[in-house]
Amino acid sequence: MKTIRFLLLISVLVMLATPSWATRADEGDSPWGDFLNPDGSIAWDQLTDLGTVSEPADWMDITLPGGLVIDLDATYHRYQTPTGNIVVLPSPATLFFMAMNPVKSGLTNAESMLGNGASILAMLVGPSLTSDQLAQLVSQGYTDPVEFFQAVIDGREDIWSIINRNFFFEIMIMSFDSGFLVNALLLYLNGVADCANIPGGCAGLLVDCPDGNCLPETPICPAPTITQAPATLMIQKIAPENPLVVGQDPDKRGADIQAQASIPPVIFTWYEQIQDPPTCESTNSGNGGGCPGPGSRYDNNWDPSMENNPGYEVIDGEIHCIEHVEVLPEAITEVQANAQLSPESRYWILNDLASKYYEAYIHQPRFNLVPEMAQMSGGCGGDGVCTAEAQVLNVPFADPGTFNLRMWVYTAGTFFNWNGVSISITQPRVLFTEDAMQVYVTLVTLLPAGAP
Amino acid sequence: MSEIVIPKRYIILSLVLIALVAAAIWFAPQLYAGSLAQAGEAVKPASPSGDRSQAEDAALGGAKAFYTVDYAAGQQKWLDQLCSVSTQTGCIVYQNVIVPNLWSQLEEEKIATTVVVSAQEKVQEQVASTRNNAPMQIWRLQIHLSSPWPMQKEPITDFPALALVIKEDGTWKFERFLTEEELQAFSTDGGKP
Repeated sequence: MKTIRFLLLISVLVMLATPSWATRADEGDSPWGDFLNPDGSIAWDQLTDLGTVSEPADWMDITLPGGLVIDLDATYHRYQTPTGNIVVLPSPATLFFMAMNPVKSGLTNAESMLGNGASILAMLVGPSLTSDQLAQLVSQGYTDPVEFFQAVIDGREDIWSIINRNFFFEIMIMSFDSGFLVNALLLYLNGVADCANIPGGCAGLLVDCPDGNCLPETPICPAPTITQAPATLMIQKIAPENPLVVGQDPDKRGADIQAQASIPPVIFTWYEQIQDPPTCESTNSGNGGGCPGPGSRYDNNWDPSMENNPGYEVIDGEIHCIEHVEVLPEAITEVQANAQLSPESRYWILNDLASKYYEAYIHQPRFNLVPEMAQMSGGCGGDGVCTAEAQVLNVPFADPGTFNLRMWVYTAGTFFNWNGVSISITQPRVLFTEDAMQVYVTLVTLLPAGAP
Repeated sequence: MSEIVIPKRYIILSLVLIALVAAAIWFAPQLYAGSLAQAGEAVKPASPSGDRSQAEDAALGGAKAFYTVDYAAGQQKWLDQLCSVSTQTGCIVYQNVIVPNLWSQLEEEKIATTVVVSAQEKVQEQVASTRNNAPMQIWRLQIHLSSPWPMQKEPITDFPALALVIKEDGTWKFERFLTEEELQAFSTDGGKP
């Protein structure tokens, strides 16, 4: 059983690792070539962000006891390519229901997707297949589960004929975990001209640009912004005021070093484009398409007589932009600090000092302060500020001169959790600061007595 | 009087045999259940006697947590009470899909309901092959809601429900409600897909 699942998983991973779009992109005439870099990554700057759109979808209904129906809206984030094609990213829940209802949801209308439809289904439901289910597939003539999922995509099979509904929630969780940003980019050709067949419909699409240079007209909502106050880093000697080399200090006091880092949060401001529910309005033309139920999707009163009634039509709701301000802590993952004798002091010890004190030498030119000699403490506070601090006490400096104190702070970057999906907002980074401190030595100088 | 001498090796052999028989008696039901589980077949009560009532309690608790709503207490309170009796998987779906999509209307209509739930019968018992062969049961419940919810097609307050419960980390938890259609598929399959 585990072996079969493992083989299934491997086959899915291989398919995802060598997706058909990558080959097509190389051919130069693939629509994916509009926005795929040669290395297969996505050139987001080539895409016009059309924002998020939601629409009613009866294929996303969840039925609960007592005649309770949750009318989930299908939610997509959409982009337009320079040649006017549309890239659609379904939300995780939407992706799940699209996979379960490929024909109704329009999944089959997509030109192609990263990976392909069968691999997405295999990714979602493959791990739920039992050995008996796999055997059943074989008895139906499918030698590979992916062939069955392709048949589902083609509308030749019903996925529920093989998938046990007991695991409805479990499969849905897999769609959350799969990371829809990576696994379900659907490409729909011809943009505006064929927008009725595109998930999310025609609203918000830019007009076609025949010269292949589609630029955004006026975005409906402002573009997201990212701001962050500068980080504060400090490494310095805190005591004693004039540290003496330990070789001359009967107490072997050494010096205390303090390292501190404080990183303000990233302020991520983004705008959610939402549309008011549609209203059902009477029309004098008599050519209205009626207002299909259920009435809960309308913003005004609705009754069954308005359904299939040419005297009524559905009027789309207004579009609004809701500002969201996210305070994202930038966690500190690691801190390194050291103290190193400066090259000038090395030279002074080995030349000037050695000329006066025979066999003067360098004892220990480098101390790895953090994490070897002390651990950092800290974390992220409720205000989103992340801090780290360490005190390294009694560092036994044995060489006189200037020690350069250096500190490196590694961060995790920032992430925004949107509908259960973690989206990277800023990349991990390394911050650096340095300072210097003096270590003193007592030198005896012989002076001729009574000299003027 | 003659003395009967039993060699030491016979004593050791006897003790080993007794231990093997005891082990076989102890582990046989588990091994049998395990092989059924691997085959995806239904398992009849191989569980401790207390499981029946604990599973029933989980079904009752899940339905009670779901239909006990107070708009004034807030969405998080409702989610917390639901997740406290749900499986981990169920909680994630309630958090991301179910609760957010129901709450706006419940709050808008100022809904505060209590519920009386009674168990009618256990209608299915199987193992969940994708959950490490954890036992799971389906219970038929009767719900009596203090007042209807606005999203119902008809404003009824008495209705049946099917609750799927799964034993997770040794405790029975509520997973979700099933439809009659799903139960039918469940029953037809007899535990097999």
